[in-house]
Amino acid sequence: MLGLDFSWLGDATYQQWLLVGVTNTIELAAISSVAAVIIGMLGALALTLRIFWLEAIVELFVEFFRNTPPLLQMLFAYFTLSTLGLKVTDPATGLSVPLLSAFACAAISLSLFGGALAIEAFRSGIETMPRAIIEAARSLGYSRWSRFWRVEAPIATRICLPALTNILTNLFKTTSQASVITVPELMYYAGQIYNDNLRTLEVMLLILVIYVALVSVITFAMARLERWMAFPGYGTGR
Amino acid sequence: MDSVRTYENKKRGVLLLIALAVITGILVDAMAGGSEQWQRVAIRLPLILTGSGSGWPITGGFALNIMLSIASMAVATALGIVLALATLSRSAFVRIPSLALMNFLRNSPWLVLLFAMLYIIPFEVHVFGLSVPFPPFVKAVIGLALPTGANLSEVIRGAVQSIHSGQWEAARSLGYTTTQIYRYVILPQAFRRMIPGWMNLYALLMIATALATVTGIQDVLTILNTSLAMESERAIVYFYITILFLFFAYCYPIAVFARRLERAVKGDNL
Amino acid sequence: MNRSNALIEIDDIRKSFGIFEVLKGISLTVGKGEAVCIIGPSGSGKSTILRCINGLMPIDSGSIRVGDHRVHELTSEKAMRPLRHQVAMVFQQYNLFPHRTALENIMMAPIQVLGHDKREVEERARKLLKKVRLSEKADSYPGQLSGGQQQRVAIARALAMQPDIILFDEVTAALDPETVKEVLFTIRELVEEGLTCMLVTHEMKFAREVSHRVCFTDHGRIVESAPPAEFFDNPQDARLREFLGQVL
Repeated sequence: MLGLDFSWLGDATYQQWLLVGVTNTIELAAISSVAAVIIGMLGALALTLRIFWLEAIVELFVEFFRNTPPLLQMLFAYFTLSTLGLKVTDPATGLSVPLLSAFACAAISLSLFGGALAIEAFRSGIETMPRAIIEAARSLGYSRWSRFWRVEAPIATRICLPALTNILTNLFKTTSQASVITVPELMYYAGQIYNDNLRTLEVMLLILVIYVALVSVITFAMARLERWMAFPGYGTGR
Repeated sequence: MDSVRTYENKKRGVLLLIALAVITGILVDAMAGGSEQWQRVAIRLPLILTGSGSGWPITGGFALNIMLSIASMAVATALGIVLALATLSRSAFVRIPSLALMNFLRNSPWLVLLFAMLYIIPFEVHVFGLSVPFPPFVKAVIGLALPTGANLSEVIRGAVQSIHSGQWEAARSLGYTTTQIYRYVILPQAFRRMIPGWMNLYALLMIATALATVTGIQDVLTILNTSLAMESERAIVYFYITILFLFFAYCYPIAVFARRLERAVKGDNL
Repeated sequence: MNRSNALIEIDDIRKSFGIFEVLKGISLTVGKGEAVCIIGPSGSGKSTILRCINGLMPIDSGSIRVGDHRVHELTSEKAMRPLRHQVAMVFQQYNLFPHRTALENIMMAPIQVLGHDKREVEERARKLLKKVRLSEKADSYPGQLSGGQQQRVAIARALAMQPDIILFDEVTAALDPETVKEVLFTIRELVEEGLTCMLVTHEMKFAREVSHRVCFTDHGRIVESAPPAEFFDNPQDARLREFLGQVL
């Protein structure tokens, strides 16, 4: 009906490009996901300390990254980190080149964006902890730290899992925006391919399906993890 | 709880201090030569906000992003309601395909979806001899409304399912039909619970309008890019800070308001 | 009783939540091996008394002594740890940790808080499970147990800390009538073994049979305190008579 033509998929060059694109996308998503979870844990931990100036700083960080477009954050990071500051002189050519590649800028900016979302998710996870459970731990004489690691953290982790799934898929989808600052990921190669073969519609449909498939893998894996970690006897637990 | 209040006040004090520090930083920078850059920004500000150099008429810029977000949200709301009801349908023929569609849209990156819509939707459609044009703006509206609508349908589903099953039983026992139960019992209760989610999605959509630059409309980023071509490298940073601030100033109050509503709604959980 | 060798000594404690004064000067002593029941209408401050005794809630004024610990002078969680070793608490909502099995729930705190040897603690935990007649449920998670079973695990968890005193906070209020019996049976055994207990309860029959002394609280004060026979058969205070008339 639409006269779709996917015969170009047989071309080895395109296959190569797609493969490199998918690899880079996964790499970018993996790096920023790990960093985001670490930032999220540190931030949520900082908030539990109830130190007013620390809380103010963390909240400001969260609100800034949640309420501005990640695309702009990435562009801003790219221009300030790579174009303006942090340059090294290449000894071989004598030209000054940016210290941080576009990939590094995208990874940093996505980590901060994801980290802000993760702090918020972990914070609300700790907040929804049943107060009675905390009281029980206190009455057993647990110290502040021991209570956090042995009682609150294991329970809050499970409460946070659905929100974490959202963050990881969100982050994975947002990596596509790194193409705008020339990071050679899947979306970037999509542009390369349709500039070459002019089959814009077919290329975009294929890319869309690839992204949805990859995101579905994350959702599926996280759902399995959630089932595996659920408290026996509650909800989805065995 | 006095100690809680003093704590919140102290925190607010620190936030105020940070804001003051930022303002002083900007002033110091302005005196050290940054004022020249800020002047560049000030000259272009009407263009960035409205798309025309004199500030009127509104043809693009940040105002276009706002219009785009409102139009998109309207379409997304309609789509979300239809999709939510379809996924809650008792008929598997309706429910399964609509669930699949919802998950597909929810799992696709906004940017890629926007690009795909750009090429899937034709430039114009001929119906009964009339030609209906699809300008880039309309494509952007649809491209952004699709994922928002899918997410909204999930919000609505959640709100409807959170209504205690006793409400259904009580209404059934009173002889209401399914449509009547939705109309008079479930939706009025669910409505309150979905408002915060709806607002959060709107803020998210506003943020995503930055992506619409790929459709070629004269939104704030397109204008920024064309302006930056004529600016020095140093000025670019100032322009970015301005645009980031615009988005923050628009979205943050919405997020705060949504959170406040969310807290208010949490109380009436039966 | 001689005040100085009482295990718990509470003197004129007051506690407010905002403008609402929950405890308006409570004084009470509990001797070693004594079982004291606190009864009274809801909102009269019964549970608050228990929470103040083991430091879960700080008091506004007055003094609390438990053994050698002067509770009102302890300010940090860390300083309260020796106190909590001595005073265990069982809650209305059981409050077991959902991510650990019944046996692990009992073993956790002795190992992690008191630093006891793991093998020795496991042996103790299994004995306690046997005592509450739940040996076969050692590897079940809290979510897989009934309310009554969870509450008995919670009692075993409190006992595993080898406390001198156990505080029971309306432990049967959330249970079905049939399962109430098994929990009360367990508590009765503990009292008979000579463990010092303070119970906030609505089970009047149980209070009468088990306790050595019953206290009636109303509007933040202890209105009447007497041995059970006297307390139930010959109440002095008008409010207590009215209360007993309603619940009996």
